[in-house]
Amino acid sequence: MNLRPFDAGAGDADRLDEFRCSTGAPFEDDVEAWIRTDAIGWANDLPRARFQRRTLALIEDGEATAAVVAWQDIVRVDLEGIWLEVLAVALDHQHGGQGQAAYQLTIDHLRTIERDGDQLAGLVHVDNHRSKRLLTAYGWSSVATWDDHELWVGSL
Amino acid sequence: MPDQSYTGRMILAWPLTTSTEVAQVLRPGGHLRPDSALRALRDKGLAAEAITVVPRSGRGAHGKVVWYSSMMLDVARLLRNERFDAAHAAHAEASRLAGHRSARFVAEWLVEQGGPEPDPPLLDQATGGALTRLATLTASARQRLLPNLGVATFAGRVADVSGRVAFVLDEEGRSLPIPAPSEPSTEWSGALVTVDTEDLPGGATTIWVRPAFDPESDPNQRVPGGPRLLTPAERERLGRPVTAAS
Repeated sequence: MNLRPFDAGAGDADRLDEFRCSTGAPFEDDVEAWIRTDAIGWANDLPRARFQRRTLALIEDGEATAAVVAWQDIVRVDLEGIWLEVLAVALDHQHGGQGQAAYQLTIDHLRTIERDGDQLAGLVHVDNHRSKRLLTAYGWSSVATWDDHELWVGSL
Repeated sequence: MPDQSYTGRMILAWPLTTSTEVAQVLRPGGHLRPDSALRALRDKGLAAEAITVVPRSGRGAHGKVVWYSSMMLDVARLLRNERFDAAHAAHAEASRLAGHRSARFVAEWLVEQGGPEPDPPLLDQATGGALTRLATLTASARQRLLPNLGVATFAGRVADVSGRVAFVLDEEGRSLPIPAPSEPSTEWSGALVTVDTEDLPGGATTIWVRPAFDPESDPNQRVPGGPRLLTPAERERLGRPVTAAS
């Protein structure tokens, strides 16, 4: 697998539009819809994108898009580090440990970038038990409820 | 399971201050000169680190505004109360905040656009939320130091002004009276403020009112909502892995 930044000139907008990660759960539909309709706007929303160091990236497995990941500096809570806005694994890569591989590749990349702290944070839907199991396995904790999500925190 | 839900938005205090305000806190009701206040702090190893210096136009040598982290107000308060260890802890936070990346973004905008009386919402929008970030981290540091500060604090919007009293509607919907400033009530009504209530020796109480702002929401976030501070209980959960629900 290979992680690279979103590149509009390489046809990545079409890749995002075609990206499918939902198995039918409403919260998965929401993530898929955000990737297809909002992610590019989020990444290009100046001046927020500049100050908050937003990055939209694709994880490729050969020619296929294995996952989409988006991150920025933490600004929504009083922790210092990186906020994972999305880490979504493509439907045809949600088996055989490929989700874990995409997570590990992302975290390895995040360790190398400039940041203000070593905390990782993100919002996970309360019903998203698969993600909670994965995050728990990697040492994350649920620290707060956030409407119908939970704030999960880990470290680099 | 976590026990506190999050639904609201935060009112954040203006995270910068000047030496004039520091002097007022260091000697309430007195006439301490701003440069004397800075010198008093420096003499105790609590020198204020400037975030930026903004020139005024046509005012000669005095034509500048030096902005510091508003944590320096707490440093001054703690020094006045001879809480030296706590003052140094607050000073360390003030220095950290003055050097924070968000402070650099705020400083750049103040120098280029801000003038001596910047508009917080405009500043926040133009810096991509840097002011909100600086204010959030400042509020977080204050929250952790609050047991040592000797103040009770709340934030809200001035809902009504009646004579010398203003009523502030706080984030929990309570209407709380504070002394109104001498400005016309039309300018004061609707203002966002943070209020620190401090008991002074001899039974007097001083109410410190500072400007505040309401962070603008981000339309592109996957999950809507503004910033928030972790509660002490939530901070305790950090580093304490939990078993995922199944």
